[in-house]
Amino acid sequence: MDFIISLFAGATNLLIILVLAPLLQGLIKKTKAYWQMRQGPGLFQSYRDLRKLWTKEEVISEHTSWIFLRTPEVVLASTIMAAFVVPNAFGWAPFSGYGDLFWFVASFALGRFFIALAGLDTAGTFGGMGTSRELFVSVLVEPTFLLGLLVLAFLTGSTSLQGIIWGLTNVSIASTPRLLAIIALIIVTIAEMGRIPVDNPDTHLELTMIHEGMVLEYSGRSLAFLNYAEQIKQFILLLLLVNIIWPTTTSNGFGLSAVLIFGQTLIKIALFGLIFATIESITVKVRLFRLPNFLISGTAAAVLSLITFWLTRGRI
Amino acid sequence: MSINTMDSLQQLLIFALAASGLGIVSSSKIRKALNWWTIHAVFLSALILIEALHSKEWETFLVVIVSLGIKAIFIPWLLGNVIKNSHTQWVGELFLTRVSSLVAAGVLTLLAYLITQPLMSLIEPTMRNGLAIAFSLLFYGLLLMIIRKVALVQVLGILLIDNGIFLAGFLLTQGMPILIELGIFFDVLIAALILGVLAKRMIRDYDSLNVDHMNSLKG
Repeated sequence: MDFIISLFAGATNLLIILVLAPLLQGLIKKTKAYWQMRQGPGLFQSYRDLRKLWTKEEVISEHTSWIFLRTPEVVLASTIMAAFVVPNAFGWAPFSGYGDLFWFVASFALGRFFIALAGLDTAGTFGGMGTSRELFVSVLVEPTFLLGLLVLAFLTGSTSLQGIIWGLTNVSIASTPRLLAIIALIIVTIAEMGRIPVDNPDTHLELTMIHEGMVLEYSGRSLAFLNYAEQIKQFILLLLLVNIIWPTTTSNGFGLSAVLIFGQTLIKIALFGLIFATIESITVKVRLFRLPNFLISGTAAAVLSLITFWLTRGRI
Repeated sequence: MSINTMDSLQQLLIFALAASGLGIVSSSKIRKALNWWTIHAVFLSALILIEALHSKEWETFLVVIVSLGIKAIFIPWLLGNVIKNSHTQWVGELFLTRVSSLVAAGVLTLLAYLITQPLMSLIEPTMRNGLAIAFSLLFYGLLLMIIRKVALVQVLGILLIDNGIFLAGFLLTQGMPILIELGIFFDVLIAALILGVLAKRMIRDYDSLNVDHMNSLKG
């Protein structure tokens, strides 16, 4: 019986992520429009965009191989795979087991691997450029991502994301390793979402684009898949960040209090979306070769968080 | 505030003290070094404030106010005036550049952890970092006095040494008698005043804060 309940809760969790991801995108776009003193598209424009792309005809270059054709499915599937291990508003993940923080990072890496190959596959100049930049960024981001999550794993004594979130309720927010890991993860989240100091999601200007460069050759249904995958990735990254900063855990998942906790988490995610959109509006994109400075500060925070963890907990 | 949170906050502030000390060592301009010093003094006062909230003794609250007033408000104001009169922002990096002095400071931090190792068993486990970082602050101050050529940065070095000693004493005794604390603050105040006057005279006589000019007085 317990198993069935947890399966049901897991499926609901996944469904909520799938349904609400475009809404978050709409909210971020609306906020950016507000800062630019425009009215901007409506909150539900992302859904309409996805529907429009879904019904559109697709154009595929005759020089491409199967990689180009299969990549949208692989990227969407790997992103949903990552969503399986992210704990929901109540601290429960659909699946959890030993070491699933590696599963989380590896799912993103799988999607990135395929999308990078697809960018090269069309042999367009923009695709190649976007790919090389994306890999340049990912080389700097992935170690930080893993190290930041690993420090939290050390801190809580669990390597599953669900275990980390539950363990974090006993760790003070002012504890130095946790604060530094949060700083590292915020920088990683900005880079993984492709937001402004790292990448500009709104433009097709050749000088600045990273992610858009790789998906430039896609159209129609494939583009819908890729955009949707990007929105889901954004949502689960923010969900994870919210859970790490303010973990809410509860064992009774029914009743009015459950609805309240759920609403709270949604508000927190929306708040984070607003904060990231604001950061995006008031800062400028850094030059590509200045990017390591920004990303290395995240890595430094992660390394320092490991050192301070060792200093505060271990025997010196 | 629970004991757990209090302890974490104390640890955080101790690390912040070390970080702002490193900030002074790595600053490229005197003004920036002074700003780092202000931040450092505020962190130190906050650390005492937490202890005061913990022990609830009015004397410790008094120490917080005096420390904030002298170290975070009066000294930055005094030295800021001197900086305004001087024509340079150079920190006097003759012997070591900023990056290599940062590396040296890192090595000194490790050294501080090494030499405080025998003392670790004496004090309660949560404070073992505090003592090591107090020693490393002392070392940063000495380092600044050795490798920098500008009088104001050397003053910051002395103040950093004083903070290190104060932190060590504070952590070991959990609050010294109020008279001793006030005496220490008065010492620091007078030292900063005298050095401020000295720096002003240096600007008047040599139009510079470089201490090398002092050697030229020798007949």
